[in-house]
Amino acid sequence: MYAVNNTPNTRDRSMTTDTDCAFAIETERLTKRFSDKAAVDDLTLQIPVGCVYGFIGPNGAGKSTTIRMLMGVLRRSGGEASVLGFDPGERREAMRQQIGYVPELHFIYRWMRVRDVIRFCRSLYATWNDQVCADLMKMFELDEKKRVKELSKGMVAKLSLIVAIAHEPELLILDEPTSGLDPLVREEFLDGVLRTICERQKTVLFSSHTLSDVQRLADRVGIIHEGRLLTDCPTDELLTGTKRIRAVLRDGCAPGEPPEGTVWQRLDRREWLLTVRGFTPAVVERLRAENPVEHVEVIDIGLEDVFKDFIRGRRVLA
Amino acid sequence: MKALIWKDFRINMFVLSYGLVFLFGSLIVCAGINLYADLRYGALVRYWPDMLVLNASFGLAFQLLTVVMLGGCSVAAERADRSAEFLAYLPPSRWTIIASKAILAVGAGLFIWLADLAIAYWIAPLAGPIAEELVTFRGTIIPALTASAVLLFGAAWCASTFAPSHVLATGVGIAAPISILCLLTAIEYSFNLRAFDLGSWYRPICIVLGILLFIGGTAHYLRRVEP
Repeated sequence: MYAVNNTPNTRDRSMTTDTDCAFAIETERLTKRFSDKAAVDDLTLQIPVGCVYGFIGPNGAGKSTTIRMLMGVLRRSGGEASVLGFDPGERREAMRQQIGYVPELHFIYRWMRVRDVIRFCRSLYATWNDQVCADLMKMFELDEKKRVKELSKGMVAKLSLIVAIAHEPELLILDEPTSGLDPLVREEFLDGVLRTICERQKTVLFSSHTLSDVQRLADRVGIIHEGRLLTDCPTDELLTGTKRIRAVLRDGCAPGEPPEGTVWQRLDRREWLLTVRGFTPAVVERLRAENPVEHVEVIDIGLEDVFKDFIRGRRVLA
Repeated sequence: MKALIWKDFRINMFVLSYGLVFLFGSLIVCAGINLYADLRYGALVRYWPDMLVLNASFGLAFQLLTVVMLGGCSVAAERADRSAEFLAYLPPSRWTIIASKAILAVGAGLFIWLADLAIAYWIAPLAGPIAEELVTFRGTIIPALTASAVLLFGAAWCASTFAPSHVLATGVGIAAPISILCLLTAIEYSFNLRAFDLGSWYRPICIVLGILLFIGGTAHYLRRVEP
Protein backbone atom coordinates (compact mmCIF):
# COMPACT_ATOMS: atom_id res chain seq x y z
CA MET A 1 0.00 0.00 0.00
CA TYR A 2 1.41 3.38 -0.86
CA ALA A 3 0.25 6.92 -1.54
CA VAL A 4 1.39 9.64 -3.85
CA ASN A 5 0.79 13.21 -4.81
CA ASN A 6 -1.43 14.36 -1.95
CA THR A 7 -1.42 18.00 -2.92
CA PRO A 8 -3.04 20.33 -0.39
CA ASN A 9 -5.54 22.63 -1.97
CA THR A 10 -5.43 25.38 0.62
CA ARG A 11 -5.90 28.14 -1.95
CA ASP A 12 -9.14 26.83 -3.36
CA ARG A 13 -11.61 29.64 -2.76
CA SER A 14 -14.38 28.89 -5.21
CA MET A 15 -16.99 29.91 -2.68
CA THR A 16 -15.51 33.35 -2.21
CA THR A 17 -16.95 36.02 -4.43
CA ASP A 18 -16.61 39.77 -4.60
CA THR A 19 -19.57 40.21 -2.31
CA ASP A 20 -18.38 37.89 0.45
CA CYS A 21 -14.89 39.19 0.85
CA ALA A 22 -15.53 39.62 4.57
CA PHE A 23 -14.42 36.60 6.55
CA ALA A 24 -15.81 35.60 9.91
CA ILE A 25 -12.60 33.72 10.64
CA GLU A 26 -9.28 34.38 9.04
CA THR A 27 -5.97 32.87 10.03
CA GLU A 28 -2.58 33.35 8.43
CA ARG A 29 0.13 30.81 9.24
CA LEU A 30 -1.43 30.21 12.65
CA THR A 31 0.86 28.03 14.74
CA LYS A 32 0.72 26.50 18.18
CA ARG A 33 3.64 24.61 19.63
CA PHE A 34 3.67 22.58 22.82
CA SER A 35 7.35 22.29 23.73
CA ASP A 36 8.89 21.57 20.33
CA LYS A 37 5.88 19.78 18.85
CA ALA A 38 3.58 21.78 16.60
CA ALA A 39 -0.08 21.00 17.34
CA VAL A 40 -1.15 23.51 14.69
CA ASP A 41 1.34 24.26 11.98
CA ASP A 42 1.11 27.25 9.61
CA LEU A 43 -2.66 27.03 9.35
CA THR A 44 -4.08 29.45 6.81
CA LEU A 45 -7.84 29.48 6.81
CA GLN A 46 -10.56 31.81 5.58
CA ILE A 47 -14.17 31.20 6.52
CA PRO A 48 -16.61 33.56 4.79
CA VAL A 49 -19.42 35.21 6.74
CA GLY A 50 -22.57 33.08 6.57
CA CYS A 51 -20.65 29.91 5.75
CA VAL A 52 -21.14 26.61 7.57
CA TYR A 53 -17.64 25.24 7.75
CA GLY A 54 -16.98 21.60 8.55
CA PHE A 55 -13.62 21.28 10.25
CA ILE A 56 -12.64 17.64 10.25
CA GLY A 57 -9.58 15.62 11.13
CA PRO A 58 -8.50 12.57 13.12
CA ASN A 59 -7.97 12.71 16.89
CA GLY A 60 -5.02 14.93 17.77
CA ALA A 61 -5.07 16.65 14.39
CA GLY A 62 -5.24 20.12 15.95
CA LYS A 63 -8.95 20.94 15.59
CA SER A 64 -9.61 21.70 19.24
CA THR A 65 -6.29 23.53 19.61
CA THR A 66 -7.23 25.73 16.64
CA ILE A 67 -10.66 26.39 18.13
CA ARG A 68 -9.17 27.21 21.52
CA MET A 69 -6.83 29.70 19.89
CA LEU A 70 -9.72 31.23 17.96
CA MET A 71 -11.69 31.55 21.21
CA GLY A 72 -8.73 33.30 22.83
CA VAL A 73 -8.37 30.61 25.49
CA LEU A 74 -4.96 29.49 24.22
CA ARG A 75 -2.16 31.84 23.16
CA ARG A 76 -0.80 31.22 19.69
CA SER A 77 2.89 30.58 19.14
CA GLY A 78 2.95 32.29 15.76
CA GLY A 79 0.91 33.63 12.87
CA GLU A 80 -2.15 35.83 12.80
CA ALA A 81 -5.81 35.23 13.55
CA SER A 82 -8.93 37.32 13.23
CA VAL A 83 -12.38 36.31 14.45
CA LEU A 84 -15.24 38.61 13.49
CA GLY A 85 -12.62 41.30 13.06
CA PHE A 86 -11.19 40.81 16.55
CA ASP A 87 -7.76 39.54 17.40
CA PRO A 88 -8.56 36.61 19.75
CA GLY A 89 -5.50 37.45 21.82
CA GLU A 90 -6.93 40.87 22.62
CA ARG A 91 -10.47 42.12 23.37
CA ARG A 92 -11.59 38.58 24.07
CA GLU A 93 -14.60 39.74 26.06
CA ALA A 94 -16.07 41.79 23.20
CA MET A 95 -15.35 38.96 20.77
CA ARG A 96 -17.02 36.32 22.94
CA GLN A 97 -20.16 38.42 23.17
CA GLN A 98 -20.62 37.58 19.48
CA ILE A 99 -19.64 33.93 19.61
CA GLY A 100 -21.59 30.90 20.72
CA TYR A 101 -19.49 27.90 21.67
CA VAL A 102 -20.52 24.30 22.25
CA PRO A 103 -17.75 21.96 23.43
CA GLU A 104 -17.50 18.19 23.20
CA LEU A 105 -17.76 17.80 26.97
CA HIS A 106 -20.20 19.97 28.82
CA PHE A 107 -19.00 21.23 32.17
CA ILE A 108 -21.92 23.43 33.09
CA TYR A 109 -22.17 23.91 36.87
CA ARG A 110 -23.74 20.68 38.03
CA TRP A 111 -25.30 22.19 41.13
CA MET A 112 -27.19 24.83 39.16
CA ARG A 113 -30.77 24.36 38.06
CA VAL A 114 -31.48 24.83 34.36
CA ARG A 115 -33.12 28.19 35.10
CA ASP A 116 -30.02 29.23 37.11
CA VAL A 117 -27.79 28.43 34.15
CA ILE A 118 -30.04 30.48 31.89
CA ARG A 119 -30.13 33.42 34.33
CA PHE A 120 -26.39 33.25 34.88
CA CYS A 121 -25.58 33.27 31.16
CA ARG A 122 -28.28 35.83 30.41
CA SER A 123 -26.53 38.31 32.69
CA LEU A 124 -23.21 37.78 30.89
CA TYR A 125 -24.43 38.45 27.34
CA ALA A 126 -25.59 41.90 26.26
CA THR A 127 -27.64 40.57 23.36
CA TRP A 128 -29.46 37.73 25.13
CA ASN A 129 -32.82 37.08 23.50
CA ASP A 130 -35.41 35.69 25.93
CA GLN A 131 -37.74 34.69 23.11
CA VAL A 132 -35.09 32.61 21.35
CA CYS A 133 -34.20 31.02 24.68
CA ALA A 134 -37.83 30.23 25.48
CA ASP A 135 -38.41 28.77 22.00
CA LEU A 136 -35.37 26.52 22.30
CA MET A 137 -36.32 25.44 25.81
CA LYS A 138 -39.71 24.44 24.46
CA MET A 139 -38.26 22.76 21.41
CA PHE A 140 -35.82 20.72 23.51
CA GLU A 141 -38.40 20.09 26.25
CA LEU A 142 -35.98 21.06 29.00
CA ASP A 143 -37.33 21.21 32.53
CA GLU A 144 -36.01 24.45 34.01
CA LYS A 145 -36.46 23.20 37.57
CA LYS A 146 -34.06 20.29 37.15
CA ARG A 147 -30.48 20.52 38.29
CA VAL A 148 -27.78 20.01 35.66
CA LYS A 149 -26.54 16.91 37.51
CA GLU A 150 -29.98 15.36 37.07
CA LEU A 151 -29.97 15.83 33.29
CA SER A 152 -28.94 13.17 30.79
CA LYS A 153 -25.89 13.78 28.60
CA GLY A 154 -28.12 14.65 25.68
CA MET A 155 -30.11 17.15 27.73
CA VAL A 156 -26.91 18.83 28.93
CA ALA A 157 -25.76 19.07 25.31
CA LYS A 158 -29.06 20.72 24.43
CA LEU A 159 -28.72 23.15 27.34
CA SER A 160 -25.22 23.93 26.14
CA LEU A 161 -26.60 24.69 22.69
CA ILE A 162 -29.28 26.98 24.13
CA VAL A 163 -26.62 28.91 26.04
CA ALA A 164 -24.59 29.17 22.84
CA ILE A 165 -27.45 30.30 20.63
CA ALA A 166 -29.77 32.41 22.81
CA HIS A 167 -27.61 35.51 22.62
CA GLU A 168 -27.87 35.35 18.82
CA PRO A 169 -24.15 35.14 18.10
CA GLU A 170 -22.64 36.09 14.76
CA LEU A 171 -20.48 32.99 14.90
CA LEU A 172 -21.32 29.56 16.29
CA ILE A 173 -18.40 27.27 17.08
CA LEU A 174 -19.24 23.63 17.65
CA ASP A 175 -16.35 21.46 18.79
CA GLU A 176 -17.50 17.85 18.36
CA PRO A 177 -20.80 18.69 20.07
CA THR A 178 -22.62 15.48 19.19
CA SER A 179 -19.89 13.15 20.37
CA GLY A 180 -21.37 10.38 22.51
CA LEU A 181 -25.00 11.34 21.88
CA ASP A 182 -27.53 8.78 20.76
CA PRO A 183 -28.85 9.20 17.18
CA LEU A 184 -32.18 10.61 18.30
CA VAL A 185 -30.67 13.31 20.51
CA ARG A 186 -28.07 14.02 17.84
CA GLU A 187 -30.86 14.59 15.35
CA GLU A 188 -32.65 16.99 17.71
CA PHE A 189 -29.41 18.78 18.44
CA LEU A 190 -28.66 19.24 14.75
CA ASP A 191 -32.20 20.49 14.19
CA GLY A 192 -31.43 23.21 16.71
CA VAL A 193 -28.23 24.09 14.88
CA LEU A 194 -29.97 24.00 11.51
CA ARG A 195 -32.66 26.29 12.82
CA THR A 196 -30.03 28.85 13.76
CA ILE A 197 -28.34 28.56 10.41
CA CYS A 198 -31.55 28.85 8.40
CA GLU A 199 -33.23 31.58 10.41
CA ARG A 200 -30.30 33.83 11.05
CA GLN A 201 -27.69 33.13 8.39
CA LYS A 202 -24.92 32.91 10.95
CA THR A 203 -21.43 31.60 10.40
CA VAL A 204 -20.82 28.16 11.86
CA LEU A 205 -17.53 26.39 12.47
CA PHE A 206 -18.44 22.76 12.98
CA SER A 207 -15.89 20.21 14.09
CA SER A 208 -17.09 16.62 14.24
CA HIS A 209 -16.13 13.00 13.77
CA THR A 210 -19.67 12.23 12.62
CA LEU A 211 -19.01 12.99 8.98
CA SER A 212 -22.57 12.36 7.89
CA ASP A 213 -23.52 15.38 10.05
CA VAL A 214 -20.78 17.48 8.49
CA GLN A 215 -21.83 16.42 5.00
CA ARG A 216 -25.39 17.37 5.84
CA LEU A 217 -24.62 20.78 7.31
CA ALA A 218 -21.39 22.12 5.87
CA ASP A 219 -21.09 24.39 2.83
CA ARG A 220 -17.38 24.08 2.99
CA VAL A 221 -15.02 21.50 4.43
CA GLY A 222 -11.48 21.70 5.73
CA ILE A 223 -9.50 18.55 6.49
CA ILE A 224 -6.74 18.98 9.02
CA HIS A 225 -4.03 16.43 9.79
CA GLU A 226 -1.07 16.82 12.13
CA GLY A 227 -1.79 20.53 12.45
CA ARG A 228 -1.79 21.17 8.71
CA LEU A 229 -4.72 21.82 6.43
CA LEU A 230 -4.84 19.15 3.72
CA THR A 231 -7.76 20.59 1.83
CA ASP A 232 -10.25 23.42 2.12
CA CYS A 233 -13.02 23.70 -0.43
CA PRO A 234 -16.82 23.67 -0.87
CA THR A 235 -18.36 20.37 0.20
CA ASP A 236 -20.09 19.77 -3.14
CA GLU A 237 -16.88 20.40 -5.03
CA LEU A 238 -14.98 18.02 -2.79
CA LEU A 239 -17.59 15.28 -3.19
CA THR A 240 -18.16 15.65 -6.93
CA GLY A 241 -14.50 16.15 -7.68
CA THR A 242 -13.18 13.24 -5.62
CA LYS A 243 -13.79 9.73 -6.98
CA ARG A 244 -12.54 6.28 -6.28
CA ILE A 245 -11.27 4.39 -9.31
CA ARG A 246 -11.13 0.62 -9.26
CA ALA A 247 -8.89 -0.73 -11.98
CA VAL A 248 -8.18 -4.38 -12.67
CA LEU A 249 -4.70 -4.91 -14.07
CA ARG A 250 -3.78 -7.47 -16.70
CA ASP A 251 -2.29 -10.65 -15.36
CA GLY A 252 1.36 -10.24 -14.34
CA CYS A 253 1.41 -6.49 -15.01
CA ALA A 254 2.41 -3.75 -12.58
CA PRO A 255 0.75 -0.36 -12.51
CA GLY A 256 2.57 2.71 -13.79
CA GLU A 257 2.43 6.21 -12.37
CA PRO A 258 -0.91 7.07 -10.75
CA PRO A 259 -2.84 9.98 -12.26
CA GLU A 260 -2.30 13.51 -11.07
CA GLY A 261 -4.44 14.35 -8.04
CA THR A 262 -4.25 10.85 -6.53
CA VAL A 263 -4.58 11.20 -2.80
CA TRP A 264 -4.46 7.52 -1.91
CA GLN A 265 -3.97 4.23 -3.69
CA ARG A 266 -3.81 0.54 -2.85
CA LEU A 267 -2.71 -2.40 -4.91
CA ASP A 268 -4.12 -5.79 -3.96
CA ARG A 269 -2.98 -8.46 -6.47
CA ARG A 270 -4.59 -7.28 -9.70
CA GLU A 271 -6.99 -4.84 -8.11
CA TRP A 272 -5.72 -1.26 -8.10
CA LEU A 273 -7.77 1.19 -6.02
CA LEU A 274 -7.15 4.92 -6.36
CA THR A 275 -8.83 7.96 -4.86
CA VAL A 276 -8.39 10.91 -7.16
CA ARG A 277 -8.99 14.56 -6.34
CA GLY A 278 -10.07 16.79 -9.26
CA PHE A 279 -11.56 13.87 -11.15
CA THR A 280 -12.64 14.26 -14.80
CA PRO A 281 -13.45 11.57 -17.40
CA ALA A 282 -10.08 12.36 -18.94
CA VAL A 283 -8.42 10.86 -15.87
CA VAL A 284 -9.90 7.45 -16.73
CA GLU A 285 -8.83 7.78 -20.35
CA ARG A 286 -5.26 8.57 -19.29
CA LEU A 287 -5.29 5.73 -16.80
CA ARG A 288 -6.36 3.30 -19.54
CA ALA A 289 -3.79 4.67 -21.97
CA GLU A 290 -0.83 4.69 -19.60
CA ASN A 291 -1.47 1.48 -17.65
CA PRO A 292 -2.07 -2.17 -18.51
CA VAL A 293 -5.65 -2.23 -17.23
CA GLU A 294 -8.38 -4.67 -18.22
CA HIS A 295 -11.29 -2.97 -16.53
CA VAL A 296 -11.87 0.44 -14.91
CA GLU A 297 -14.76 1.41 -12.67
CA VAL A 298 -15.46 4.85 -11.18
CA ILE A 299 -17.15 4.86 -7.76
CA ASP A 300 -18.82 7.78 -6.00
CA ILE A 301 -17.71 8.12 -2.41
CA GLY A 302 -19.11 10.04 0.56
CA LEU A 303 -17.34 12.50 2.82
CA GLU A 304 -16.34 9.75 5.22
CA ASP A 305 -14.41 7.84 2.54
CA VAL A 306 -12.92 11.05 1.15
CA PHE A 307 -11.73 11.95 4.63
CA LYS A 308 -10.32 8.46 5.31
CA ASP A 309 -8.45 8.38 2.02
CA PHE A 310 -6.96 11.83 2.52
CA ILE A 311 -5.69 10.84 5.95
CA ARG A 312 -4.54 7.34 4.94
CA GLY A 313 -2.68 8.79 1.97
CA ARG A 314 -1.01 11.33 4.16
CA ARG A 315 -0.02 8.73 6.73
CA VAL A 316 1.51 6.47 4.11
CA LEU A 317 3.46 9.42 2.73
CA ALA A 318 4.69 10.28 6.21
CA MET B 1 -20.04 40.88 38.03
CA LYS B 2 -23.12 40.35 40.22
CA ALA B 3 -23.81 37.02 38.54
CA LEU B 4 -20.22 35.91 39.09
CA ILE B 5 -20.34 36.88 42.77
CA TRP B 6 -23.63 35.01 43.13
CA LYS B 7 -22.05 31.95 41.53
CA ASP B 8 -18.98 32.17 43.81
CA PHE B 9 -21.27 32.64 46.81
CA ARG B 10 -23.13 29.45 45.89
CA ILE B 11 -19.89 27.52 45.41
CA ASN B 12 -18.59 28.65 48.82
CA MET B 13 -21.92 28.39 50.61
CA PHE B 14 -20.82 25.46 52.77
CA VAL B 15 -17.66 27.26 53.92
CA LEU B 16 -19.56 30.46 54.60
CA SER B 17 -22.17 28.54 56.58
CA TYR B 18 -19.39 27.00 58.67
CA GLY B 19 -17.97 30.48 59.37
CA LEU B 20 -21.34 31.93 60.34
CA VAL B 21 -22.22 28.95 62.52
CA PHE B 22 -19.00 29.41 64.49
CA LEU B 23 -19.47 33.17 64.67
CA PHE B 24 -23.05 33.21 65.89
CA GLY B 25 -23.19 29.69 67.30
CA SER B 26 -20.41 30.37 69.80
CA LEU B 27 -22.12 33.63 70.80
CA ILE B 28 -25.33 31.74 71.45
CA VAL B 29 -23.47 29.13 73.51
CA CYS B 30 -21.73 31.91 75.43
CA ALA B 31 -25.03 33.62 76.11
CA GLY B 32 -26.58 30.32 77.16
CA ILE B 33 -23.80 29.56 79.66
CA ASN B 34 -24.05 33.04 81.16
CA LEU B 35 -27.80 32.93 81.44
CA TYR B 36 -27.64 29.48 83.03
CA ALA B 37 -25.02 30.72 85.52
CA ASP B 38 -27.11 33.77 86.33
CA LEU B 39 -30.27 31.75 86.86
CA ARG B 40 -28.74 28.82 88.70
CA TYR B 41 -26.05 30.42 90.82
CA GLY B 42 -27.02 34.09 90.68
CA ALA B 43 -23.68 34.86 89.12
CA LEU B 44 -22.82 38.45 88.45
CA VAL B 45 -22.95 40.14 85.08
CA ARG B 46 -19.17 40.58 85.20
CA TYR B 47 -18.74 37.12 83.62
CA TRP B 48 -20.09 38.46 80.34
CA PRO B 49 -17.03 40.48 79.21
CA ASP B 50 -14.62 37.64 80.06
CA MET B 51 -16.74 35.11 78.27
CA LEU B 52 -17.02 37.35 75.23
CA VAL B 53 -13.26 37.84 75.04
CA LEU B 54 -12.63 34.12 75.38
CA ASN B 55 -15.38 33.34 72.91
CA ALA B 56 -14.00 35.77 70.32
CA SER B 57 -10.41 34.56 70.77
CA PHE B 58 -11.22 30.89 70.42
CA GLY B 59 -13.77 31.76 67.75
CA LEU B 60 -10.95 33.28 65.69
CA ALA B 61 -8.93 30.10 66.09
CA PHE B 62 -11.85 28.14 64.59
CA GLN B 63 -12.31 30.77 61.89
CA LEU B 64 -8.80 30.01 60.65
CA LEU B 65 -10.39 26.98 59.03
CA THR B 66 -13.02 29.18 57.36
CA VAL B 67 -10.33 31.50 56.04
CA VAL B 68 -8.14 28.73 54.65
CA MET B 69 -11.12 27.00 53.02
CA LEU B 70 -12.25 30.26 51.43
CA GLY B 71 -8.78 30.66 49.92
CA GLY B 72 -8.44 27.02 48.91
CA CYS B 73 -11.85 26.75 47.26
CA SER B 74 -11.65 30.09 45.45
CA VAL B 75 -10.31 28.82 42.12
CA ALA B 76 -9.56 25.12 42.55
CA ALA B 77 -13.13 24.12 43.40
CA GLU B 78 -14.20 25.04 39.87
CA ARG B 79 -11.18 23.30 38.42
CA ALA B 80 -11.94 20.13 40.38
CA ASP B 81 -15.38 19.72 38.80
CA ARG B 82 -14.13 21.24 35.51
CA SER B 83 -16.75 23.98 35.53
CA ALA B 84 -13.80 26.36 35.11
CA GLU B 85 -13.72 25.16 31.50
CA PHE B 86 -17.32 26.26 31.01
CA LEU B 87 -16.51 29.65 32.50
CA ALA B 88 -13.36 30.02 30.36
CA TYR B 89 -15.40 30.27 27.16
CA LEU B 90 -17.92 32.80 28.46
CA PRO B 91 -17.46 36.56 27.94
CA PRO B 92 -16.16 37.70 31.38
CA SER B 93 -12.44 38.43 31.39
CA ARG B 94 -10.13 36.60 33.76
CA TRP B 95 -9.73 39.87 35.63
CA THR B 96 -13.47 40.01 36.27
CA ILE B 97 -13.60 36.36 37.25
CA ILE B 98 -10.74 36.62 39.76
CA ALA B 99 -12.05 39.96 41.05
CA SER B 100 -15.42 38.38 41.89
CA LYS B 101 -13.66 35.53 43.68
CA ALA B 102 -11.46 37.97 45.61
CA ILE B 103 -14.43 40.15 46.57
CA LEU B 104 -16.30 37.16 47.94
CA ALA B 105 -13.40 35.38 49.67
CA VAL B 106 -11.68 38.48 51.09
CA GLY B 107 -15.02 40.14 51.88
CA ALA B 108 -16.45 37.12 53.69
CA GLY B 109 -13.17 36.43 55.52
CA LEU B 110 -12.89 40.04 56.64
CA PHE B 111 -16.52 40.16 57.75
CA ILE B 112 -16.15 37.09 59.95
CA TRP B 113 -12.78 38.18 61.29
CA LEU B 114 -13.83 41.77 62.00
CA ALA B 115 -17.00 40.56 63.69
CA ASP B 116 -14.95 38.48 66.13
CA LEU B 117 -12.49 41.35 66.64
CA ALA B 118 -15.40 43.70 67.35
CA ILE B 119 -16.66 41.29 70.01
CA ALA B 120 -13.23 41.04 71.63
CA TYR B 121 -12.24 44.69 71.53
CA TRP B 122 -15.50 46.64 71.44
CA ILE B 123 -18.53 44.70 72.64
CA ALA B 124 -16.78 42.90 75.55
CA PRO B 125 -15.51 46.14 77.18
CA LEU B 126 -19.01 47.60 76.83
CA ALA B 127 -20.32 44.72 78.94
CA GLY B 128 -18.01 45.51 81.82
CA PRO B 129 -14.40 45.30 83.02
CA ILE B 130 -12.28 42.46 81.62
CA ALA B 131 -9.96 40.42 83.82
CA GLU B 132 -6.33 41.54 83.60
CA GLU B 133 -4.99 38.14 82.50
CA LEU B 134 -7.57 37.99 79.72
CA VAL B 135 -6.48 41.38 78.40
CA THR B 136 -2.92 40.04 78.19
CA PHE B 137 -4.16 36.81 76.61
CA ARG B 138 -6.19 38.76 74.06
CA GLY B 139 -3.22 40.98 73.19
CA THR B 140 -1.04 37.94 72.53
CA ILE B 141 -3.33 35.48 70.82
CA ILE B 142 -5.36 37.71 68.51
CA PRO B 143 -2.44 39.35 66.62
CA ALA B 144 -0.84 35.92 66.18
CA LEU B 145 -4.10 34.44 64.89
CA THR B 146 -4.64 37.40 62.56
CA ALA B 147 -1.15 37.06 61.08
CA SER B 148 -1.70 33.31 60.68
CA ALA B 149 -5.02 33.98 58.96
CA VAL B 150 -3.35 36.26 56.41
CA LEU B 151 -0.77 33.57 55.59
CA LEU B 152 -3.33 30.76 55.56
CA PHE B 153 -5.53 32.66 53.15
CA GLY B 154 -2.68 33.86 50.93
CA ALA B 155 -1.08 30.42 50.69
CA ALA B 156 -4.39 28.63 50.07
CA TRP B 157 -5.42 31.24 47.45
CA CYS B 158 -2.08 30.90 45.67
CA ALA B 159 -2.19 27.09 45.80
CA SER B 160 -5.76 27.25 44.53
CA THR B 161 -4.62 28.93 41.31
CA PHE B 162 -2.16 26.07 40.70
CA ALA B 163 -3.77 22.99 42.22
CA PRO B 164 -6.23 20.69 40.47
CA SER B 165 -8.28 20.30 43.64
CA HIS B 166 -9.44 22.53 46.47
CA VAL B 167 -8.53 19.86 49.03
CA LEU B 168 -4.89 20.07 48.00
CA ALA B 169 -4.98 23.88 48.00
CA THR B 170 -6.51 23.96 51.48
CA GLY B 171 -3.86 21.50 52.68
CA VAL B 172 -1.08 23.73 51.35
CA GLY B 173 -2.69 26.68 53.12
CA ILE B 174 -2.76 24.82 56.45
CA ALA B 175 0.86 23.73 56.02
CA ALA B 176 2.12 27.26 55.40
CA PRO B 177 2.03 28.79 58.94
CA ILE B 178 3.12 25.48 60.46
CA SER B 179 6.14 25.51 58.15
CA ILE B 180 7.00 29.10 59.08
CA LEU B 181 6.69 28.25 62.76
CA CYS B 182 8.92 25.18 62.37
CA LEU B 183 11.46 27.16 60.37
CA LEU B 184 11.67 29.94 62.96
CA THR B 185 11.96 27.43 65.80
CA ALA B 186 14.71 25.60 63.92
CA ILE B 187 16.58 28.87 63.41
CA GLU B 188 16.19 29.74 67.08
CA TYR B 189 17.62 26.42 68.23
CA SER B 190 20.22 26.00 65.51
CA PHE B 191 21.87 29.33 66.17
CA ASN B 192 21.19 29.29 69.91
CA LEU B 193 19.52 32.69 69.73
CA ARG B 194 18.46 33.30 73.32
CA ALA B 195 17.20 36.80 72.61
CA PHE B 196 15.24 35.59 69.58
CA ASP B 197 11.60 36.63 69.87
CA LEU B 198 9.69 34.11 67.83
CA GLY B 199 6.43 36.04 67.96
CA SER B 200 7.85 39.31 66.76
CA TRP B 201 9.30 37.57 63.68
CA TYR B 202 6.39 35.23 63.05
CA ARG B 203 3.73 37.90 62.71
CA PRO B 204 5.39 40.18 60.09
CA ILE B 205 6.66 37.19 58.10
CA CYS B 206 3.15 35.70 57.94
CA ILE B 207 1.56 38.98 56.89
CA VAL B 208 4.13 39.86 54.21
CA LEU B 209 4.26 36.30 52.86
CA GLY B 210 0.47 36.01 52.85
CA ILE B 211 0.05 39.21 50.86
CA LEU B 212 2.81 38.24 48.41
CA LEU B 213 1.27 34.81 47.86
CA PHE B 214 -2.13 36.37 47.26
CA ILE B 215 -0.67 38.72 44.63
CA GLY B 216 1.43 35.92 43.11
CA GLY B 217 -1.55 33.58 42.89
CA THR B 218 -3.69 36.25 41.27
CA ALA B 219 -0.98 36.99 38.71
CA HIS B 220 -0.65 33.26 37.95
CA TYR B 221 -4.41 32.89 37.50
CA LEU B 222 -4.46 35.75 34.99
CA ARG B 223 -1.81 34.02 32.87
CA ARG B 224 -3.04 30.47 33.30
CA VAL B 225 -4.88 28.60 30.56
CA GLU B 226 -7.94 26.55 31.59
CA PRO B 227 -7.83 23.59 31.57
